[in-house]
Amino acid sequence: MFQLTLISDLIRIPPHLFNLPRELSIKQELNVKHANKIIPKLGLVISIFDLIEYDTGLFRPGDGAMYVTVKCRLLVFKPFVGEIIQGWIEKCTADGIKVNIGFFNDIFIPKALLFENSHFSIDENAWIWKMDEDTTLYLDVNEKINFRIEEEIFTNVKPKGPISVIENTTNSENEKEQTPPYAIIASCQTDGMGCCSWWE
Amino acid sequence: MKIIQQREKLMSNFEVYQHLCEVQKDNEWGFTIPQTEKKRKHKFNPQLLDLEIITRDLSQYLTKVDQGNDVKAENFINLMLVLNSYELEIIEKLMIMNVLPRSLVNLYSIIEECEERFTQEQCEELLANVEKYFPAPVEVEEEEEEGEGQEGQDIEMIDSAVVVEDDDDDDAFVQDDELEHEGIIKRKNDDKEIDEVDQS
Repeated sequence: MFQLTLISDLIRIPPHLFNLPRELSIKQELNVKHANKIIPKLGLVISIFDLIEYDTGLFRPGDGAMYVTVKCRLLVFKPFVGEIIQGWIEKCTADGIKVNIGFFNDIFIPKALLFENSHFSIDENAWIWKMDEDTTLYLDVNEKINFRIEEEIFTNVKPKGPISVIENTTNSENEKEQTPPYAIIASCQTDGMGCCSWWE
Repeated sequence: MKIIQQREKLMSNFEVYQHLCEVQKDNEWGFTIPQTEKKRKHKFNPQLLDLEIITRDLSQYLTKVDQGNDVKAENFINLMLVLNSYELEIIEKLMIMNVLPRSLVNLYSIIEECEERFTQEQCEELLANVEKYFPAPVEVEEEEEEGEGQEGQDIEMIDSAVVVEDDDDDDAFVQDDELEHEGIIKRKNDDKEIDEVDQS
């Protein structure tokens, strides 16, 4: 689920951090830059893990800040394909199930990757799996489930332009449905998947 | 920024939690670890807001999937030594350490072609070892029963928990998620246990 990634980066240390020990200020600036952000083709960065090396730093004309080249390791959330993770059902729709794991929200199980013979019930707002003639099992909102990672999708999200007053109302609606920069497609088809309580 | 090596090391949930504990200690936050001195002011650094959010959410997720404060390093190492005696792939060992399978079905879903590679006795022996070093939590079932029967009481409990939380560390976030409340209650219990140990 998690991994360490070795990176090198150029970090700007503003003058008001010069009083701190050098390592501390570098770590802080790296965390400001990377923590809780998604790096394309990599994953969600949790925080910086450790510093490997850093140089003495350089000044630029016209800027009081110091620029340091750093080599460090980042702690990254990037589940591998086939990994099994536990999460909670956030939303059930006719298209599939949205899973929540607290710190990352863009995990989706499409209906094609759910158990065979399962269907969506609008009345109960849940997916129902008819295991055999006698047993029906429910995938309700807020149930703890096991699921398998199938695919990861990165989309390039463009920065937002200035908000104009006229288009403001339509923009706010669009923002909610914007594709996330990092989405995970999961499946729930084999034995051991689905609600944790079924298999105990 | 340049990525030098994408996957330098894989991290288990336990190691990630250890790292998060250190981040919390460094910044004097107390999301899941009991704070050493009670009347410490909750340090708030607007620049590190992202780090604070991800630390809070991720550490609460890890506590909920039983990788939190209860896990002891020696148990972790012992189970790892046991797993090394089997012919398992690295990612299979990693998933066993993360998911802690309690039943054969769960184990089969983690290990590929488990039936061909291992006999049933071996699998049961492995499960017994998991159970030995990481006994299944008993409290969870009790909480669920309460939740089903007396919802009214449950809400009261949650409310009082939120008040205590606010007193403790002036948390800047509004916590309206039900899942998060469970985390807080669990944390309160952890605090109690530690107090008891101190007295004896």
